[in-house]
Amino acid sequence: MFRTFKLRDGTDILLRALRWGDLDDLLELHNELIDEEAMIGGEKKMTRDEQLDRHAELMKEVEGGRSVVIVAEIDGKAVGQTNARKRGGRLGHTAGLGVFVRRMWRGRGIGSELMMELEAQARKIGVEVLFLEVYSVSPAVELYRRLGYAEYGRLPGGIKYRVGYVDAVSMYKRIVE
Amino acid sequence: MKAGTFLRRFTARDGREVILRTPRWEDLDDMLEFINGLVDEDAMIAADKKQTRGSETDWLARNLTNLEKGVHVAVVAEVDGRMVGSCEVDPRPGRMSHVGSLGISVRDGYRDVGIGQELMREAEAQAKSLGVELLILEVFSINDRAIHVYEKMGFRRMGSIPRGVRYKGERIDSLCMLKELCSS
Repeated sequence: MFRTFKLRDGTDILLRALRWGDLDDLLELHNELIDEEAMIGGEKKMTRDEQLDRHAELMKEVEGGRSVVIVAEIDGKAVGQTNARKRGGRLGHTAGLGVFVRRMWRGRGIGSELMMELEAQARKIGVEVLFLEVYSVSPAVELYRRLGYAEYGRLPGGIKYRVGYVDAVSMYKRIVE
Repeated sequence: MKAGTFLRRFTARDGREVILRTPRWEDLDDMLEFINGLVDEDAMIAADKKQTRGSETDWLARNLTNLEKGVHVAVVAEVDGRMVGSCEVDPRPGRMSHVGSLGISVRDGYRDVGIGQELMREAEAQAKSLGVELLILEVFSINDRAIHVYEKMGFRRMGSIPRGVRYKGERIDSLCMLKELCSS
């Protein structure tokens, strides 16, 4: 366990490490994001078998110190997660991140709490720079900016979303001086 | 594309005959020697550790599988029966599948004679036929020679991650470049 905090409405949130048992909650989270056409990289629902393979891979990466995952838990259920995976070789001090929260729990600060915890835990495995990609039209861009991420590049038409193209914005934050 | 497919041949600026083709299983030992040679000379690539025959076997198996499935582009340059360069394009997953990430390397002793450019030209053509519309690459910001070639090939600077690369005890910037592939 990393820490707990309270939402403004009094709900208790637990931030903790990934567990094997998060498998089904995270599958639900992923498939809900696909259903609502959320602005994430993926566009296909996963079967439980696919999720099993992915989850096992993630558990291995965490054990091996190549990835960090923080889970937000409410009443025993995983409602959000953020993860960062280190790149290879000479880029090994940099890690790409993603952050996901169940629809009904958004807009209450869980995402920022997850990301702040991610920074703290990522430092422990030697990460100095976190980076991410985001849809230029996503409200998350503002959240990332507030958390100290700066835009370092933009891929024009880098994302196909619904019927058109959207720019992919690259952002980074140095977390170790 | 099938493994070991002949693509074309050309004469390099130093007169050597070069064959461009897709990789094949028999390239394994050549590839292992190639990548470890790059690590030995501290080439400006992401890899900084030598591969074992086992890890290279895994890599080649995945590479050829994806090549044959049509979800990966791989072109190698061969001179006198020896693999001297390689260029790959990996389409990104999901909603970025029209974006291909390009990587290229040429063996020491075969550089600066146009082999890299021909490899890239060929890989671009293959990538287009897989539906890639945008190519991206990353290069060490101090690798002037490579950046010059990429700019000549039509890539432009997109941005860089400050101190995103560790090289010889220092932190240097990782430069991202992009190129739009015209649909005509």
